[in-house]
Amino acid sequence: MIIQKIEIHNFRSYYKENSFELINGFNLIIGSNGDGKTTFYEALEWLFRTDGTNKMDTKYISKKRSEELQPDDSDDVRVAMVYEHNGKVKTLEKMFRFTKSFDGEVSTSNYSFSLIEGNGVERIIVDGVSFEKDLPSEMRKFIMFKGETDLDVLQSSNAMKLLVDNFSEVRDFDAYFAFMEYATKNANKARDNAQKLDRKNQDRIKELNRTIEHETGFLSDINREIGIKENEADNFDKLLKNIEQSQESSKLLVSVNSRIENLQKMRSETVARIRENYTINLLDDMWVLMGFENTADEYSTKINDLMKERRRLENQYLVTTGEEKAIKAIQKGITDLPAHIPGRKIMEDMLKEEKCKFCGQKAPKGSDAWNFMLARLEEYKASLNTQKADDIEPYYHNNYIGELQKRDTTLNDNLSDITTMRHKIQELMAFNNRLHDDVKKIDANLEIEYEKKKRILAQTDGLTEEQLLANYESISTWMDKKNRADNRIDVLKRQREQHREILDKAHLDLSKISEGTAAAMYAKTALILQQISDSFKNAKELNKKRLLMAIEDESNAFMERLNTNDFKGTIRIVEKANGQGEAFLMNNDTVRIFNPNTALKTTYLMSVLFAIGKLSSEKDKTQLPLIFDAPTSSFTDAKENEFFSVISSLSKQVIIVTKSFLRDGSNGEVLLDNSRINNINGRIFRIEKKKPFDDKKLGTIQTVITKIK
Amino acid sequence: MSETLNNIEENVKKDEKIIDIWGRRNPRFEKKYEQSVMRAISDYGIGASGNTGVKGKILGAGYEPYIMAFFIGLYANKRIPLSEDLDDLKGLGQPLMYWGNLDSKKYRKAYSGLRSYIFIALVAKTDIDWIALDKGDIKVNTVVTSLVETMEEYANYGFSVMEEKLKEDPGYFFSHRAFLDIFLQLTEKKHDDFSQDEALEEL
Repeated sequence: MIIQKIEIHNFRSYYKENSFELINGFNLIIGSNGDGKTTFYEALEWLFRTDGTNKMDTKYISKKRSEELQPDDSDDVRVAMVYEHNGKVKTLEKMFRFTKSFDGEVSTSNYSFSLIEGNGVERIIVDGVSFEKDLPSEMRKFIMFKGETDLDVLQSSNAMKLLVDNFSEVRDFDAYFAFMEYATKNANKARDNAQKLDRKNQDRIKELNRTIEHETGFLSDINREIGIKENEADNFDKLLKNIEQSQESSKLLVSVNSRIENLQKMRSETVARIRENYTINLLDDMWVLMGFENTADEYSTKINDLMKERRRLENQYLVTTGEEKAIKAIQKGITDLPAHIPGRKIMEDMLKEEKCKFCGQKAPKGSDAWNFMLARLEEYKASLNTQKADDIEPYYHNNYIGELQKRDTTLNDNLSDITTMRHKIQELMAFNNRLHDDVKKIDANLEIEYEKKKRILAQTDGLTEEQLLANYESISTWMDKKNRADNRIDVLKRQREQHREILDKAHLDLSKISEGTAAAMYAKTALILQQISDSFKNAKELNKKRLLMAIEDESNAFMERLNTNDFKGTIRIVEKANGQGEAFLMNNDTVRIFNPNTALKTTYLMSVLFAIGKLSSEKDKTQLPLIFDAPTSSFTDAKENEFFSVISSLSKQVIIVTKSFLRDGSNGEVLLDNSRINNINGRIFRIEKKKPFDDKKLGTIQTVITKIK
Repeated sequence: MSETLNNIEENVKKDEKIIDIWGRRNPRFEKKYEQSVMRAISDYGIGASGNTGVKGKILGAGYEPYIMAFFIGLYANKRIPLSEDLDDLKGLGQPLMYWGNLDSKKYRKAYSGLRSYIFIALVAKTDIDWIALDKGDIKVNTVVTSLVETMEEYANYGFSVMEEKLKEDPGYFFSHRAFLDIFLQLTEKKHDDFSQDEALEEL
C-alpha cells in the first residue's frame, strides 16, 4: 500500500481544501507547535476508523470555516486518501456536512464513508469499511505511531499472533489442525473397532492397549509435571530477571549512593564556605563604613581648620595679654631673677645653716648675705600670694578640639581600610557567588544521581531500597530453586522420551499384530495421521521461531544503519511464556540492557518496525507505509540528521510529522533549517499557521501547506 | 577653697572626652517605627532575658536597626527632623556607650569601634562652635544634644526608607543582601548627589 495523496478539507486547523502529494519514499512534514502536525495525524486516524465510531464530531470542524459561514450555509469536513494497493489505485474518503443555523449553532449531517476504486466510468464505489481488507484495523498499530511511546508494538497482547498469522508460513495451519484432530480420532476409533474382531491376538492386543493406556497416562503425568516445573522455572527466572535487574540495580545503587554521599559532602563543605551574613557583616565587620571616606575627609578638614583657628586665637590672646603683663611688671620693678629661684626649701635650709649654697661662703645670722637670703625668701612668699592676681587667664578652659584632633589622627591611619573595604566586600561577594555556582553545579549533579536512583528503584516495581537489597541477598536461593526445577525438567524430559518410545513401540506392535487385517489398515492410517499432526505442530513452532529470528536479523541490520556512530547493542526478539512478544537490547549478547535511553530505545524499536515492514513486503509484495508523529523528540540534531538520512535511503514509504528542522530566527520567528533540509532525500512539506492570527481566537487559526521539495 | 573642692567633679568632667558624654545619651526615634521597623527586624522589645533566636530576627538589639537607619540617612545625605511632639518619640533603652559591645547573641562580634565613627560623622555633619565650647562659652551638653539631634534626624530618614521597604515586602530584609545592596547603591557615586537620590529611588 502506497499513499499517493492525502486531502484534508475543513478538518480542524486545515481550512478549506488542503492536500499532501506524497512520494513512495521519505515524506517529511515539518511544523512547529500548533501548526497542525497532530491534526494531520488525527485526520488519518479518523479516516482509517472502520468501526463506525466518531463519525461526525463537531470538534473536527474547522473553527475558521464554521465562523465565517452565513446562517443556513453549509460546507463539508472531508478527509480522503488516494493510495495504490496491489496495482490498483483507490480512494478512501470520509466526510460529513456541517450547517450553521440562524441562531449560530452548527449541526452535522450527511455522513459518508466510501472506498472508490478506479476512476471515470469504471468507478466502483463501496462502503469504506472495505478498507479493512487493504489495511486491517489491527494492523494499524504496525504503521501509525504517535510519539515515542507507541513504538513498542510487540508489547500489545495480540501483536505476536498478528505477526505470525500475517507474515509466517503457518498462517493457514490452524484449519489443518482441526481437521487432523478429527481425522486422528476417527482413525483410532476405526482401528479399535477392527481390532475387536481379531480374536487370535486378543490378549496381546489387550496387553498392548494397556501399555498404551499406561504409557499415555505416564506421559500425561510427566507432561503435567514438566508444565509445573517449567512454570516454576519460569517464575524463578522472572524473579531472577528482576533480581538480575536488581543485582545490576543494587550494584548501581551502591555506586549511585556513594556518588550521592560524596556530592552531599562536597555540597555541605561548599555551603559551609559561603560567608553570606552580609547584614551582620555590615555591623560586626563594620562594612557599613564602606562609604565613610567622604565623611572622614569632611571631619579631617573641619578638625584641621578648627585646630588652626584655635591656635591662632590663643596666640593672639597670649600676645595681647602678655604685653599687658610685661608693662605691669616693669612698673612694679621686680628683679630679673624669678622670685621662685632657688626655691623655698633651699632658701630655708641656707638661712638655717647660715651658709650660701651657691657660692659656698658663710652667711652668719644677721650678716648682709643672711639678710639678703631672708629678703629673697620673703619676696618669694609674697610672690606666692600675689601670683593669682598676676597670672594670665587661659584662653581655653576645655580642649575638646584636641580630643577631636587626636581621633582624626587615628581616623587617618584607618582610612586605607575604609577605602579598600568596598573592593573587599565585592571580592567576598564574588567569591560567595562562585561558591554558589559550585553549589548549583553540585546540585545539578545531585539531581542527576537522584534521578538515576529513582529510576533504579522504579524499575524494580516499587521495591524499596531495603527490599531491593533483601532481594539481592536472596538471589542465590532463587537461583538454586530455578536450577533444581531445570534439572527436574531434564529428568522428566528424559523419562518422557523413554515412555514415548514404549508408547510408540506399543502403537507399532499393535499395528503389526493386525497386519494383513482390515484393522491394520485403520491402524496405519491412524498412525500416519498422528504423525502428520505432530509435524504440523512442530512446523508451526519452527516457523514462528524462524519468523522471529528473521525479524531479529532484519532489525539488527536496520539498527546497524540507523545508529552508525553510537552504541547499538543487539536486538533480541523472543516470545514470552504468555505468548506475547518482546523486543529488547542485549549487551555483548549476554546481558540485557534494561533501561536504554529514549533515543536508543526509539532507534531499536523503529528498527524492529522497519524489519517487520520489510518482511511483510517480501511476503505478499504489499508494502505498508509507516506514519510517525514526532518520533525523534529525544534525538540530538546530529543523530536526527543521520537517522533521517538513513530513513530517506530506505526503499519504503515513511511519513514523518515533526517539529525538527526548525530553528529560531533572530527576531523570534521560526525558520526552516535549510542546511539540514538539503541533506534529506525525499519530499518535504512545511505546515504553519497562516499569519496574521489572533492567539486568543481559534477561529483565526489556519494551517497552510508549502511544499519545500 | 571650698569652691575648688566642689569643682573636683568638674575637673574630672573637663578631662572626660566629649564622646563619653555623648555615649551616655539614648537617641530617640519616632514611635511609629517601633512596630513597623524595629520590632519587625530586630529583637527590640524582647528584653534581655528573652530568647532572642526564637523569632529569627535579622538583627539583635534595638540599636542595630538604628545604626542601619543612621547610615542610610548619612549616605543618602538626607535628614528628617523628629516630630516636635514628645509623645511621638521614644528613647532607645541602651545608651550609645554600649552600642556594639559584645552581644549575648551567638556568632556575633563586638563592634564597639563603630561608635567612634558615628561620632566622627556627627561632628563632621553638625554645625557646632567648637571654639566656643573649648572657651567654655557654651555647655558641652548643648553640643552633645546637637550631635544627638543630627543622629536622630539621619536615622529618622533611614527608618522611613526601611519602613517603605517593609511595607512593600514584609520579608524584604530577610534577604542577607537587602541592607548590603542598599549601602552598595547609596555609596556607589558618593560625589554625585543626584544619582544618589536616583539610586535610592531605585531601591
